[in-house]
Amino acid sequence: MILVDHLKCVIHEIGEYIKKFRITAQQQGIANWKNVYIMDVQNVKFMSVLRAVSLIKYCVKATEDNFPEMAGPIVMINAPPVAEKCWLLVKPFLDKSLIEKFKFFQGVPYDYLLTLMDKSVLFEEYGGTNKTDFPHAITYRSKDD
Amino acid sequence: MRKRFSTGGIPRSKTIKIRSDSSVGSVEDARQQNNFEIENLKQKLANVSSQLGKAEYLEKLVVDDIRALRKGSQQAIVELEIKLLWVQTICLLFATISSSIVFLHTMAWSHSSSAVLFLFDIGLILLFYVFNSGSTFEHLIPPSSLEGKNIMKHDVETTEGIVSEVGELEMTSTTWINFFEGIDSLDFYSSDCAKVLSKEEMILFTGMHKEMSTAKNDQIPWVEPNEFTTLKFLQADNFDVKVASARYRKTVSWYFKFDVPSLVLHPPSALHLYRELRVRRFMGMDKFNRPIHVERLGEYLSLVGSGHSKSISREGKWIQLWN
Repeated sequence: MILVDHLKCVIHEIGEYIKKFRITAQQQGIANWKNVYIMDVQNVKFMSVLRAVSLIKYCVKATEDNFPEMAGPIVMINAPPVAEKCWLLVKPFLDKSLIEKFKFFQGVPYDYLLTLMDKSVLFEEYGGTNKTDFPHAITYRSKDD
Repeated sequence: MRKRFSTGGIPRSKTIKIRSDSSVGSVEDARQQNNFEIENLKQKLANVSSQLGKAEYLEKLVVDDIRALRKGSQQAIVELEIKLLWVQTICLLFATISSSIVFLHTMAWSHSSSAVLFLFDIGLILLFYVFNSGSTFEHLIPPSSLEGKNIMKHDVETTEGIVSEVGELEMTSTTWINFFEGIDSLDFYSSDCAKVLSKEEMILFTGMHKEMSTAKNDQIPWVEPNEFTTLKFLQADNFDVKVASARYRKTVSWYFKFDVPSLVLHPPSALHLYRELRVRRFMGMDKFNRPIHVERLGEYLSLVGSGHSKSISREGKWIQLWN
């Protein structure tokens, strides 16, 4: 997979977000373009993230410049203590507004997540009742099986 | 019986009298007065035009100054980058030499100070690596072959997976850039977006909206932004009209460079692999009607960095994966 292919995939997924915004706008008559984003940082490796810094920078720049104001609250969960240092490294590359939106938790913040959404929406893995499939990435999946 | 001519209720003899009252001399006086007033107006006009000329001249001066400043800042940035590179190389040299000395001579972790020094050096090397890894990949992006192409007439098709979700909604190039384009139930000025704006913000908003709608001839290809998009771009730049409009111009050219509207309609070939690596799911809507997405970012990022990541910048390859 080349970097350009990766960026194309990212854009494709953003396009699907935009469709969701359009659908809600048509159904409910509400103008909204913000997106709630939950990052599960389980199984993260510090060194490999360091290697991926340039990729993160590139993708964040492309999406922030061309799709502004899409990010609502960003919640990072299951974060190891090392991720705090990692966050300090990534921080200078991001916008100030984005830093304000960011929330950082070690483990799963069940009470905070319930302030954002209903229990029926939250996945079972995080203590809710939503039963949709949420698999691990390929390599991690094979380890579990 | 003689018929009387009706003169609007006024007898004819009176109207003739009124005309006879106005003498010739008074008309000349009136003309002189008019001439005087016209001369006054001319003088005022001349004053105003001279002031306008001054204003234009000042504007030119300011624009020239700004251009000069921009050039200067670019040069300064380049110089700074060169200095930073020097500092980084010196740091790396120092770190490698000192760490090797410490490691060779002491070889014992019991000596606490040497261990601390060693760790510090490793930290320096790591920092060097992080700063240098921030190279851009712009040389990998294909040249803008699509700039002259007119994608406004792009044929709209729907993909297999999202037909049920999209329904009757169609994504064209204008609906990609313009939020809620073609949705008749939404009116910007009666929506919550417009109600939140203060008076000053509203003035800035209308100014930018006018500027963008008249900017058709400057840039080709061009997509006129609707109210929602202009507000979105203004909010992103804290209601700085110049920055926001510049950003919008850039994004329009970027959209056509990447052929964004066709990217959604025809999903890229690497999408399946990408989704296997980067697991992302749609949870539902939150209490404020915003879509929630969950992602296993930790696993994805550790996959990106593992193994073959060195080949990113050299060969244009990203991940070779585990094979």
